[in-house]
Amino acid sequence: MNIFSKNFKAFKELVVFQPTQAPPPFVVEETEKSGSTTTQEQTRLALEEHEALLRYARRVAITLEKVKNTLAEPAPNEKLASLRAELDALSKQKAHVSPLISTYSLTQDPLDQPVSTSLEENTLALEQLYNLPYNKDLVLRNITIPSSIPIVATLAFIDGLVDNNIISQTILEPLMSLGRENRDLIRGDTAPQIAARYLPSSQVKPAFFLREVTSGLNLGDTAIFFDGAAEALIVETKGQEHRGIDRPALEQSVRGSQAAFSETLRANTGLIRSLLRTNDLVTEILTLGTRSNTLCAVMYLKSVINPALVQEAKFRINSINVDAISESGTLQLFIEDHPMIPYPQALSTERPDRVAAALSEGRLAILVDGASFALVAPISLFTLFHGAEDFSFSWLAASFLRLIRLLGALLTILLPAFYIAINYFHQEALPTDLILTIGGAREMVPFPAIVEILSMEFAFELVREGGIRVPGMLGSTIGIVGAITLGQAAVSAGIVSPITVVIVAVTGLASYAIPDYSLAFSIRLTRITFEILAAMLGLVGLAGGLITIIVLLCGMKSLGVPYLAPVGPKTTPGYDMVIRGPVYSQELRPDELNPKDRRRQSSVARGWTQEAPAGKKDGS
Amino acid sequence: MSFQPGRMGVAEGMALVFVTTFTSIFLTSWPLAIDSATTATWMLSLINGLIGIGVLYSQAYVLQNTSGDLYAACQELVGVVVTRLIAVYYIGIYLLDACLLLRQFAESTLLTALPELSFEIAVGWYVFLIVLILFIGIEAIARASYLFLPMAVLIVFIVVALLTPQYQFMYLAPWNGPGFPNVVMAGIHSVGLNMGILIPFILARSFQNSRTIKNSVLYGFGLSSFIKSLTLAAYIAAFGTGAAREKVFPFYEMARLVYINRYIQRIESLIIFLWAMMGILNVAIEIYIGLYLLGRLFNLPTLRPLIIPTALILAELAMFPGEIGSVIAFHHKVHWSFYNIGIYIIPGILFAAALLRARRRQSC
Amino acid sequence: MLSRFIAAAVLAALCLSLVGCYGSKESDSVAYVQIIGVDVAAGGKRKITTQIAVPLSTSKGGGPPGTEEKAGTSKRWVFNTMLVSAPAEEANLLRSTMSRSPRESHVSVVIFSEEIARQGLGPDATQYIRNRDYRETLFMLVVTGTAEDYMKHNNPALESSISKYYELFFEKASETGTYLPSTLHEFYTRLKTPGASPYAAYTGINPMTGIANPVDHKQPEQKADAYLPGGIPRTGTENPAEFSGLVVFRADKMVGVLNSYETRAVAILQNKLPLGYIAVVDPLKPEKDMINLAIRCEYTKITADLDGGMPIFNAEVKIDGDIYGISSDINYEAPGNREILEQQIADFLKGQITAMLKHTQELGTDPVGFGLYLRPKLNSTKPLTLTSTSLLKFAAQV
Repeated sequence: MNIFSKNFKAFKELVVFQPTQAPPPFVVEETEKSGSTTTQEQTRLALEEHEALLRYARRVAITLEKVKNTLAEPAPNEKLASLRAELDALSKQKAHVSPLISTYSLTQDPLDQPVSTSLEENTLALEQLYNLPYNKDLVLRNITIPSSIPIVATLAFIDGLVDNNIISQTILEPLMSLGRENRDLIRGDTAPQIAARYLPSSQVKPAFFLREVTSGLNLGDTAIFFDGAAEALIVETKGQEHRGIDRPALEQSVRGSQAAFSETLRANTGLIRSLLRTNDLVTEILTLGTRSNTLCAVMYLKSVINPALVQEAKFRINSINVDAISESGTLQLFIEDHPMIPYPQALSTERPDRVAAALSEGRLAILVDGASFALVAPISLFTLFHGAEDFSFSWLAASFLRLIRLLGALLTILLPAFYIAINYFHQEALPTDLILTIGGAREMVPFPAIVEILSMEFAFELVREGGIRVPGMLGSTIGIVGAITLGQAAVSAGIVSPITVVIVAVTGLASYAIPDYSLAFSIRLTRITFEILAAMLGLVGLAGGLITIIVLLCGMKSLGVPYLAPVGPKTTPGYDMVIRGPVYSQELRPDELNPKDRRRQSSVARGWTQEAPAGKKDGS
Repeated sequence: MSFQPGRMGVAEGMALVFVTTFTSIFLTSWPLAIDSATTATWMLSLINGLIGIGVLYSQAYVLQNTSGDLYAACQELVGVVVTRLIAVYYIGIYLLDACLLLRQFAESTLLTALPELSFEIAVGWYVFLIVLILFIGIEAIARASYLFLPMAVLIVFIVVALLTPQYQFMYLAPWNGPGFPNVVMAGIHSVGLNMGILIPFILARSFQNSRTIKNSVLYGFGLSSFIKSLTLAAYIAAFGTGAAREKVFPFYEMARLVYINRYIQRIESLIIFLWAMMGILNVAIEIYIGLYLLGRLFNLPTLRPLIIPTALILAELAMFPGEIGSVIAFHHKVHWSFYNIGIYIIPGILFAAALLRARRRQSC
Repeated sequence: MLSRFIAAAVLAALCLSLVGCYGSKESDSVAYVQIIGVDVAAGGKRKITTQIAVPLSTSKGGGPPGTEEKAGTSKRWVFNTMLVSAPAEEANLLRSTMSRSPRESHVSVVIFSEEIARQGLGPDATQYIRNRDYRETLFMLVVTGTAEDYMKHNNPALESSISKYYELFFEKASETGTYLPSTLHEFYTRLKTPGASPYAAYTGINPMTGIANPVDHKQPEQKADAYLPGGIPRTGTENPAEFSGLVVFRADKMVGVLNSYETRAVAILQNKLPLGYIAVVDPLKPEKDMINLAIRCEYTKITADLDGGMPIFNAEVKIDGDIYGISSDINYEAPGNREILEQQIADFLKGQITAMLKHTQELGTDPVGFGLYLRPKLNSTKPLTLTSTSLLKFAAQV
């Protein structure tokens, strides 16, 4: 090696980039579709068949050994009986295994398998379904039920969904420790006998297919398999840890009930039923999501609601084909009439009393397991302006509150757009002194008014969004302090004019007068559109935006019911939509719902006004 | 929007009639009418109302004795060929009116609200909105009109009330203007301004029954005639006939005149809302009626694809005339002549045919 | 569906952006013209003075730093006087002399000099009526000297905005009746519609010397003096501008001036005087004693009749009086005296009204609008144009 090549090598090492040696980063491989899956599947299934046969053969061998041992010397009756039971089980298993094709059909979903007579088969099937060595949630517990012929059984349940005390008290204790009394279980139908005589649980039902078993397990029930029985027993042992009934977090009220829904479906339906204790209240349970199998309850008053509404709601929910739905809001997005329009087409509430009131009006409620908000549909836009305490205040106070909220909504939509339109195009629309003040305040501001307004709104939204994320008690404080300091600082820095701050603050405040959060959000979106329209075409642009939105709202439906009812289309008023009349004048249910029963109360609801006072009945 | 516009009730029908007959108060038709009726111009609207009610009852009779809507009634009474001619006439009227209104509203936008906007953009903006709301459907338009109705009435009343200090009621005298017969003649001539009263008859299939139609026209047109009359009386009382006939937009001028004190004045910008929305609704409704009749004429399965081309053609046509003065004069002329065919002659023929048929049936 | 929706939205947004805030003006890029004064100049030209608000001065405090000291020193408004041959040219020239775009939509008063009013205001008034930028409700004044001079001397101490000054002034006109609010609208309507003659408020600058310059004519019952602008004896630091009297027109030409008492007679006949103050000579001690009263015009009823082509008018006026002070200590509430005082007041007011009527008839004008009451008597609007001229000669009975 000469000096030249040595130097060249050194130079090369110096100059050329040398990648460092590191393990390759993790990249998720893209799956490639191949056509060979079916053959792989077929071999797998064939393998399984063989293994099942092998297991059967092994069991036969063991049993034969046992028979040989037992028969070698004179045996007591019990032993013979148990031997007979075992042989019976064996023969049942044979019956199971022999039509191999039907059992292990190539196209069959493993969930559609019937419950096997062999404990071993059932255990294996469950282990496979729940990926057992890895998945630690499923617990399998083998027990022997002492009886004249001891019965081997396996308990299966999912840890975390069940209450262990309930399992001990209603399953293990009666089956095991109380076994000293000599139980004689007649051979043949073990499971029904045990269910009828020895399981002191409130809900026990038989399951014949693995699908029923798994759905029971997923809900927190316990499955009991018996050796030699082609059915399992599903025993109610639900005992999931959950939040108790709390105070409403978003829909606080001065008067009225202080209970809110929690995440447990049955507790929620119970809350509603406790407010409407009638046989008329129907709770239909539907299942949502092919993978999540979320329970969903549709509640309505049978004798009141228009049956077409129930039919349509159930049809829409059943037709949803999605893997998981975890929230009632997601469900709302799946079933609403106009997904392109951000205005909420169902009321989501956490208050059972509001749901109950809606049900009695002839609307329906949809509750999703795991969601602490119930959906109420169909609604009209004005429903979203109702507050919880409206129902317990004097009609004048309630109407005033509702008008304030509507005014707040109008203000939040129009005020900044109005300011922009007038500032840009219609300076003649204000009194001279006012426009001089506005013009003077803008004198030192280096931005156009639209930028001022939009940037302040952006800041306001940031404060709002940040206030939510800031943990705990700090949130609201930071929101207020942030808004004030930000506005003050922006004004003294000469970036925005004080008028802008006033307008944005009033607008922001007004938007919080709207009780429904998602409505407030869509109104905010509308407002920004209007601001841009106003900047481009002044009041003409604003008028155009307004008419479009009104025609749009007039054309909208919530579960097939006009969104702007009772004003567009005009329907017979029930005096509890836009404004609230005295309670005794609310005689009719909303017309637009076409309820079966229009009348809510008799025309004289206050019977006492028609009769003599209680103490003076006798005329004394 | 499917071919059939959906179900409508009295409220919707009333709103359709009100919007289409009321918007003339924002435009120059009435100042021009002052030439013919001077101080008694406010009576014209009432005379129009009375004649309109006559038309209403004659057409209600026609509908009661035939089946379906005005088009079907026409076919039944006067035959297919004549029906087609009539349909073409009405399509022409409604689309022409839509076109002329579009032009005038765009022009009034320039004159009253946005003086520096280019004219094409004003027309384009209105057409854009009209197409948008036409796609949402006539049902929604009618409902929105119904929402506007009380608002419009309220605003008109507020303006009329706020103008109180400016009134000189003696300007309304002599009460009979250029002589009572002249006023009646002018009233008879000017009915063409109210083509909207036929809309519920044309859309009869969407209404629940003939009583709904009758009531909606009665209330809608009655209200609009009354309020127009009141507004015109206020207009003349505030301006006097001399100055009143020089104005272009009567209602806008009234709003401009409001001066109560340092705070309650300068409200005309808010009136922009009212007339811009009413104008958009009016043009959209008229285009829809034109298209609807077109659909009936050619048995079309749906109207949707026609909306955009029609709106664009109308917009182009609206921009065609060189200056607004000729448009206003032309509109006034057709209001007082060509439109009257659709108010007097065609309904008259239908009524006569229906009567004749009923009598023949009785004699048989 | 979603893609179509987005496409439509994007298209709409693009189309809208074509508009691009076309013709928009920030409120701080506009100069707000508040008052316009029109003078006559040689050669048929006009000298137009505009009074423009300075916005900074109105935003004292709270504004960005640097505004305060400026606000203290700077003026509240600026003037701009130009010699133009047509009002349209003025609008043009104003734009080449100012950085900001002048907006006339906030003009609240238009002031004409007496000279131009005597030449005829028709062409100038039409200019302001027809122009979209001006509104008809703006007040119309005629000044004694030149408008330019008047505007420059009119410097109210109490008001920060000159528009407010005029608006407040006319708001309280009904408390005295010695001047009347006059708007361009009323002027123009009266000009265009037969029935009444136009008029305008009369104003001027007081020399602030304290020397009285009353109108010489005086009734026997009259205690106080009637004035024209500039004649009120006063000194002090309040604004030298004052309103008194009424300019009357025949068609669009100014023909004369009514003094403050005659103006009040017009106000009474027009039913526009809810409140006023008068001083009459004590009827029982006429040498030097007087009675001060507040009067309230309850109603005025004017009826008209055509008597063989000659219109006859009847005016019935009901006045309520409130005694403020009696220098002679005579009890005028007593039954006998009461009638005497009432008669005295009636004579006084009747004398004023008759004097006013005489004066206006001499001038051939009808500021009260008697002609309007004749309108219902006519059969149709056709003879209206014929009679309107003959209306000006009439016999009035009070």
